[in-house]
Amino acid sequence: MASSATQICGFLAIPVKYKESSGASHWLYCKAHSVRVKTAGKPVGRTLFVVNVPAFFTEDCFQKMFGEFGTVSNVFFHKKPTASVPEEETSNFFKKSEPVKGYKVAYVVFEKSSSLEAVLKLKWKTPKVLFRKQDKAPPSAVQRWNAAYDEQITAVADLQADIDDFMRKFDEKAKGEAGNLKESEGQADEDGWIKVTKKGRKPGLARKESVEQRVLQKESKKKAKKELLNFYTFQIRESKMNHLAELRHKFEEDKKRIAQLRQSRRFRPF
Amino acid sequence: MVDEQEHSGSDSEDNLDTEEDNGDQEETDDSDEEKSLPKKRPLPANVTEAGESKKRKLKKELFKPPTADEMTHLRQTENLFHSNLFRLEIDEMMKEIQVKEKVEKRFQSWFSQLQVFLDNLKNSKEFPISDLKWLKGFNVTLPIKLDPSKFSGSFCFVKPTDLSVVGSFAAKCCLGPNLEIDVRVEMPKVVFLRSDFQNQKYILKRALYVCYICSKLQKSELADEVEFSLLEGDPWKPILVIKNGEKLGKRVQVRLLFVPEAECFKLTQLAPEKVNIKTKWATGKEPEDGLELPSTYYNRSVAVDVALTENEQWRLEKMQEQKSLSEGIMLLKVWLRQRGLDQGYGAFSGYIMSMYVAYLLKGKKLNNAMSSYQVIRNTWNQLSREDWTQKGCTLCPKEIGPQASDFHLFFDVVFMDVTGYVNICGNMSSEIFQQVRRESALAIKYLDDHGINSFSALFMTNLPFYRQFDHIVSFDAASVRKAEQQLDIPARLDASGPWFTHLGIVGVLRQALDARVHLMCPQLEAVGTWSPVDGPPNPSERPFVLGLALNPEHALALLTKGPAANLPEAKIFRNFWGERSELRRFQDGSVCEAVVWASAGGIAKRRLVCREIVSYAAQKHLGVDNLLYIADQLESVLPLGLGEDGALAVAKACDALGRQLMQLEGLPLDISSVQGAAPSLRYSDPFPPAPYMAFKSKDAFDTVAMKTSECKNKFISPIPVVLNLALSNKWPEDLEAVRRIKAAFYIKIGECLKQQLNIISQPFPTHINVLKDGFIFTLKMYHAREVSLLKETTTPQGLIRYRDTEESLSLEMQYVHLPKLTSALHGLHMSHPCMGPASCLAKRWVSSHLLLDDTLMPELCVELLMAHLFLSPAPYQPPIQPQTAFVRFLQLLARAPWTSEPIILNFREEITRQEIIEIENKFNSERSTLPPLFVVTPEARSGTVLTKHAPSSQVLYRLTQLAKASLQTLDKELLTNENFDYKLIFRTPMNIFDVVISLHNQLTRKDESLDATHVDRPKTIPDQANRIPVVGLDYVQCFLKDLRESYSDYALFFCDQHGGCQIGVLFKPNVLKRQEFAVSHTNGHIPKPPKQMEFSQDLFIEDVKILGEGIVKSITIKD
Repeated sequence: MASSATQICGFLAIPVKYKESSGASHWLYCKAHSVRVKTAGKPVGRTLFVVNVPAFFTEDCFQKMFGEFGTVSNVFFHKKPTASVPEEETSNFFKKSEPVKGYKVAYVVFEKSSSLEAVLKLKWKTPKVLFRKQDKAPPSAVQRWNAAYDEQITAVADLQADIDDFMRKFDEKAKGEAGNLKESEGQADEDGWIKVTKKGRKPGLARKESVEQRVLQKESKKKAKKELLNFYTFQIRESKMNHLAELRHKFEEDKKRIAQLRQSRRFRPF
Repeated sequence: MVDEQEHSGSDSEDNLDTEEDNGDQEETDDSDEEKSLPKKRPLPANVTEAGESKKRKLKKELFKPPTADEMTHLRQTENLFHSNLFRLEIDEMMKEIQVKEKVEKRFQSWFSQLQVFLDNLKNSKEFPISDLKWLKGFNVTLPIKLDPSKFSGSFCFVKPTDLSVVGSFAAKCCLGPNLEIDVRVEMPKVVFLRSDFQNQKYILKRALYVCYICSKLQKSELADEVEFSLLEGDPWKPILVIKNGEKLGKRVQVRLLFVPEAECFKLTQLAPEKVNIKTKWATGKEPEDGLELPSTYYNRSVAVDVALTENEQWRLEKMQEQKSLSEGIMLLKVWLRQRGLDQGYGAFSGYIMSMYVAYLLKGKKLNNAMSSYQVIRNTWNQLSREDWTQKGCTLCPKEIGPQASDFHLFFDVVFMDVTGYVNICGNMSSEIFQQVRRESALAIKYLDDHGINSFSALFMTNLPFYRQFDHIVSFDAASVRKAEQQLDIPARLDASGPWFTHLGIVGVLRQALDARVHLMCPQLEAVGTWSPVDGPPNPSERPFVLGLALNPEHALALLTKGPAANLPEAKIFRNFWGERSELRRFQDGSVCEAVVWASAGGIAKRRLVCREIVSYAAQKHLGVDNLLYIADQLESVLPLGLGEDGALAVAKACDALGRQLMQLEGLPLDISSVQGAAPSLRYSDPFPPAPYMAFKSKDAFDTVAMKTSECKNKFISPIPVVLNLALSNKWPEDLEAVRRIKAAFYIKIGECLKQQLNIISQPFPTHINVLKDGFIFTLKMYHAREVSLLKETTTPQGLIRYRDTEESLSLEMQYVHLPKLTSALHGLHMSHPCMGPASCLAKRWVSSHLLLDDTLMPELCVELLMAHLFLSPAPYQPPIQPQTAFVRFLQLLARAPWTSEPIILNFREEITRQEIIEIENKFNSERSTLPPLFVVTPEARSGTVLTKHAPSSQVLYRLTQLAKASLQTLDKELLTNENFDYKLIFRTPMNIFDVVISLHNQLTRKDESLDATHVDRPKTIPDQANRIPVVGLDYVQCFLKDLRESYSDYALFFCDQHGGCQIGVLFKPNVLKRQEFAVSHTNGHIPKPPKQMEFSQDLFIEDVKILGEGIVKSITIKD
């Protein structure tokens, strides 16, 4: 183990400071990304897996940190480690996933695998300062909140245009699917099976849990009707015994409750 | 017995019939079953197989043949008790309050020593009674206030003729664990002359006898401490209280009661109409008109002593060795004690109660076979029906002695003893009796209502005086003296103390308030003990405190209507009200005398009409102008009052907007309903949104909503509203598409509003903000299919199932539960107009203690708990004054019943009895898996929807602790300290937090803070506005959200929602410990190679600085 690089359980710890004046430094724990499930977005060999990434870290911050080792082509943020890549956003107004906030996990994808190796080889002795004095100051918290508020307010026309665009595509797609369904209606597939759909003449029962339960209930009712109640002596005896058992059960329950209350000293009136 | 059967374990009664083949004959049936059971009922086959699993063992337990004992026990429970639980609860409480055997033994041995001691006392020499200098030699001060110089004759001590244990201890119904044992000491005949019952001589000699024994006892080893006290609070009746930690035990007091030997005085001479104190003797003058007034109260005072022995004997005879009877009396005594009705002058003491039970026993209303439950139930039933102020009852056989009707001429309340000469309730005022009656009726109501845990309401809850009433009036001693002069109460020779003045004051106020109050009850104060060296306490030095229970139907009326002007009664009315009375013509054409109180003003002012009336009447008729009137003091902590007027404006605007929205034309689907979901629409927002000044831009602009750069306004809270649309089957079956369609709808609504009504709005992808009458409404649309789409999952078999998800639940909460609860709470507020304001107070209190937050204690929970107090107010009546409701809210928090009972909010009685039982069963069996606060409403019967995430048990615990502390302060200060700073109970200690973050004041909602001065709210209706200002941007909440996103796993953050400028941080336990490195828990940790990591407080501080740059002023760390 290198004498000065901080290694912990296979992770390389990199200290980072927000500003030069910051009292304490954050630590990023890095490791080369390696998982069984391979995805194109996070290629093994070029992806750096980072945990304990503070809330203020953005893609730019990683550019700043690792830019000197080679181009960073992509950064993905997640709340928890995952092999998949977040879905691509198609609209400015309707986001598919919420932005990741708080402490997070990052996957930094480099253009070349050599950059990754270089990062992992370095000893990272002194904390890296993210926002130097000469740099543009990061937005203050109040500015951030204001910006987030302003961002929601959009011109109505843009919103309408976005909606129209989506709905056009959606309608087209729906039409296509409906067409396909209609075509396949009543047609046998290559094995000779005919698919029964809800569109046909006899749609059958809906395949829902509630419907299935209703059917079962009806059945059990029918069954119960056929049985004779309190007819045989043993039945009467049993029902009496059951009643006694129920009383005893209730009594035991109440006793338990009293014991509970007694523990919390609920019986001292004064 | 007849009365009981309908109430005994109603659900099991039906089953009972099936079990007993021949119906009613319980007794025979019982024995029949006992004998035959083992033979007749062999164990079911499946049980006899020796099962080893636990379940089977349990089953075996349940199905084993019953023993005779068990059968009788079960049968008794069904027939003689309210419910099984009630019976067990009674048994448990009895264990706590019954006299322990070793205590009794210890007392018996002490008692025999006392007998020997008194028997060995020697007769004293003769002392003069006109000059009591000799008493100093005994080191005792005379315990009564009498001038001895008026007396003549001498006193000589002779040892007591008899000594016996009397009272509740003898009758085996003494209330533990602090025991008071009464011992009767019989003073011999020779001490008194035959005529000593006249002119207070008996009183003085009795006191001297007490002093003599006191001085002797002080020197003996029998007592650690001997003190004086008073019997029934009567200033002429000193008794001795003996404590002896070693020989008697710490919790035992022995009270020596002194009575004259039988045949000393004749009871006939002590009848209430007899004159036993001569005016000439008392004042030195002949009575003015030559008529002597009967010395009723004095006569009674003496007669009580004379008749004590006989009464005691009779009682003991009646109640010999009847366990259930004495248990019943003990329960009734606990009930009285909890209500503060059994101690002090004129109280409904435990003695009266046990005499009454004996009376019922004599009248065959109770019998020996009854269970303790039946005893209390029947006693309450009888008591609530009787009116001793009109028709007193008597223990005396009718033929001899005076009749009860004769006593009514002299006493308010009449209950005659066995001799027929003593009124046991002689000192009681009718107010106290009416309260006892009302409480009895309430008790019966609670027993009948199965929805509540009546046991704890009746016996376990203490009801301090000030929590029972809506308004409290307190006259200090000086005021009482003033009133005495003003009322011109003739000096009574037959009683000592200010009681007659009190009656006069009550009379005046009763006439002034009339139907506005249900009850006007004086506070009873137990007389303490005092050391023999000190003089007796002066009852005139105590303030006179009255509690008013308002009658909601009349209490808020602005006008007191008098009789028609031409009637003779009009003159009385005019005399009483003086210049305030005026002639008015009423709508029905009549011309009547009337008094108009608070001319105009909101409901908050109308609640105080009673105060105005009381202070006017007190000034005019009693000459008192500095009353302490406790009614609305706590309201001063809210700078805007209770927010009722503000809420009214919001509700009006919301209704108007709703109507307009439903009439919009040109929408693809009609809006079928508009439901508000804001706290201000349930009248429970302490700071309801105010209409703001018009925001107007002259230049062109892109969006109607202003951006933060364009305007810097104060915090404005938006008012959420949920829209429901007419049904349609054209909605797409796709979540994304539904979201788009909804957004398109918002845009369309915005256009229509602008075109048709010229109302401006700003559509967003998820909602639309609309400006109406200066308020900003956030409209959201509910589409039921959206929720089910979120819930929908398909099993591998292709079966469609619906399962709740986090998202669907939060959507349902927002769109379904919140509007429904808003309307339910609004409805409840309409029938109890003080609920909304009381919720405001409660929320302010919770918020002041930094706990009002959706992640800690959601505001809806506070409101629901408050609603609980109005829906099931037991043991009280629903309050009228917000302050009273707030104090009871604190009591609810302090009692913390959530661990053992579900909170069932049965709005409109929609949940049936059967369902309540099911809910309770579920609650009891699954308690550990249910949320700490389990609230059930008709809409959310599972009880988990509303409180699933918050509050946690820790938050509830903290609330309980805070509520206890606040109540303690109130208990101590409320009635006594005129200048009490009520903000004190709203201040929270900050020293418990690990880190305290101070914020820049100008970024908080500082107008709402506790110390903010009243701000005038703008009243402009911004017709001209063409922009919507910045809404709902609360920097402190943004900051808290950021902090929680980063650190919710490691710390809790607390802040006052209403203008708090400090955030308290509490680290979770064990966070600061060093831990093994784990990828999932690295956040905010610094490395400790080779394999460990540590949470760094420095790094946390650094993060707080980064996350709150611009808002954080300073950070303090607890060392």
